[in-house]
Amino acid sequence: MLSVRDLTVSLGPETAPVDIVAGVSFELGKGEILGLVGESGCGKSMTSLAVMGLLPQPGPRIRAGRVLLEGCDVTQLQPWQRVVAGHGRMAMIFQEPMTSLNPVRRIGDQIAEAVRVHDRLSGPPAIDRARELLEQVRMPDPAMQLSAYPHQLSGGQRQRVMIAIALACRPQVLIADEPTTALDVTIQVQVLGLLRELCNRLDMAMLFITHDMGVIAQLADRVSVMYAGRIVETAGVEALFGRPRHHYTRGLMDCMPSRNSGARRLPTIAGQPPAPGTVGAGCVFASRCAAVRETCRTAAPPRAEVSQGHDVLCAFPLDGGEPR
Amino acid sequence: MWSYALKRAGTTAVTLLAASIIIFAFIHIVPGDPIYVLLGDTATPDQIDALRHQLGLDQPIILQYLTWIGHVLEGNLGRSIFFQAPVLSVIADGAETSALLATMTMIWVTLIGVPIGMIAAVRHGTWLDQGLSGAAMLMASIPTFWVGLYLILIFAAWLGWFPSSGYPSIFEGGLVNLRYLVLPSLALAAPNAALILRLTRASMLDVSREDYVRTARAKGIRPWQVVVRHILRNALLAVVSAFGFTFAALLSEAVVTETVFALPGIGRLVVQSILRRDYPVIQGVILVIVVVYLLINLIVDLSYRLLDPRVELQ
Repeated sequence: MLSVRDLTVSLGPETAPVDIVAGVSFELGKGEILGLVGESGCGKSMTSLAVMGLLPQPGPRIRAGRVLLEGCDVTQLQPWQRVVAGHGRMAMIFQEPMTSLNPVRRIGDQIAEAVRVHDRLSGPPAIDRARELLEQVRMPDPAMQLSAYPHQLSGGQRQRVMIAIALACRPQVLIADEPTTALDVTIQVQVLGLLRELCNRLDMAMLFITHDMGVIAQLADRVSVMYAGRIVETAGVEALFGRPRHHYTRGLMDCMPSRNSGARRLPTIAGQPPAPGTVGAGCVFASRCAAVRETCRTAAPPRAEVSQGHDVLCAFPLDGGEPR
Repeated sequence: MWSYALKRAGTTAVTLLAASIIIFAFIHIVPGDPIYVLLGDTATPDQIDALRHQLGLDQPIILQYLTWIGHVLEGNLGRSIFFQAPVLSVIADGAETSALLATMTMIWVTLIGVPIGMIAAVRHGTWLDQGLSGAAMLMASIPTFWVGLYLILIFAAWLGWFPSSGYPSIFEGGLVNLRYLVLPSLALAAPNAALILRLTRASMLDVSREDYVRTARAKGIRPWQVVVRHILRNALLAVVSAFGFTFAALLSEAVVTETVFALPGIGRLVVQSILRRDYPVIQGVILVIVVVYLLINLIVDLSYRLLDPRVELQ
């Protein structure tokens, strides 16, 4: 469905580019939910914007790699160019529902705008479709809300509107960039439930970006862990949480509070991620890795498939022994 | 909406009252005596006293103010000492020129400032943007009278396309007479259009970084639709409020422009009346200008409600 190969996003001049996303590859199958997880600044949002063709300009650019949607090359294409080329069926929702809707235009109008582009409807049928989409995202009283302005809605309702706008594109792939981070926990649960249900019902694939391991564990089928612009581990959700093979993934797991961790101080991963541009030839995680060896600092680690569908970017992965 | 308009009208009235006191006080603090201007150096003390009494200038200043404001409330701005005619009709004579000049200027400001600012924003960072922004900077920094003189030189003296001075009423010569106002309105518009241009550009660049613009792009609508439907309208919120200030600036800049182009407008009337110490006219004109200014700002505030649904008028 969506195939991203060796995607590299860079800042700075052509002659001395600084890679903020370096050689990211992943596959997203029909109806599948892939979680992309990593800490702030690891390049997950840049990856999603690059895939979607929404990189801010002037700014970062795709220096190398390809994005294939249903086998067609859509690299470097902005959404409108994709629509013109007939590959409009990829949509995105964002982190901040409070600022992601135009404050001076009515909700119905903002949804209908997307309907007009993707369904080639206009006038009352477009508004009817907008109302139908609001029903799909379980918006209370959808007919009324069509004429509401964003500031009259709550955060959760606004995120539902954002999802409705995305659905107007009849997406086969939905990119969700931290869609619940800004919401209350109870609302978060509702929105996650809605996204899961929509994926099932519409047979829609989703790239779900978050820094919240708990959310990923509930929602995703497979997970890619990102660190310093690279995907360091990809696995099915159970394999990843059960037997993490990358030292960074393991570190992340250890940092998660669990019900029986009590008042014990949570462990942290010492140090800071390397700043973009300061990455040398070796492994990006070498400076913080507990099991670092001399070769890690000088040679780039290989990408190894440690088991079926479980990739890790590490020269000395953790052993797959006992499940955690 | 209506209760808001009423409340605003109330505050406007208070502002006007304060303005009337300030206008009256200032003029009477300024040295100079209209009696000497009217009678000349050769007047006898008896003549002076008689005229002073006739004009009511021998009364206490508080009483003079109350008499004046009482008449103003009746719609009577008094009689011009110099013209020996009602102030209202003196102002009405200049009002046509000034109103048309201001309207034409604002049309230029809008037609030049907004679209060019838009183009500069859409093409920002390119040579086109730099050229337009540079030209705007130049326009904003050249004094109006200088632009006016150059316009006269090029379009009136060399090319002969437009008349260089004066303005016969459109009620006498028809709309063709508007051509007399083309050059002065362009001169007046230049610095203001430049400001609106820069404001439009900056405001659009700000808005184009907003999250909702990214949402609009994500929908797959075309770039020009993103600009017109999502960026421009939000950017104009800032520009509209600047129109009120621009208008205020126009009123004072018009004084110079009307002098350069010898236009019989209100600006020139103020200057001449000050030289003649014609108190009633000065007071009347300034009061009228304050009223117009307050009205314009009231309209700007009300139009905000139409542009931005978040603004609650209470």
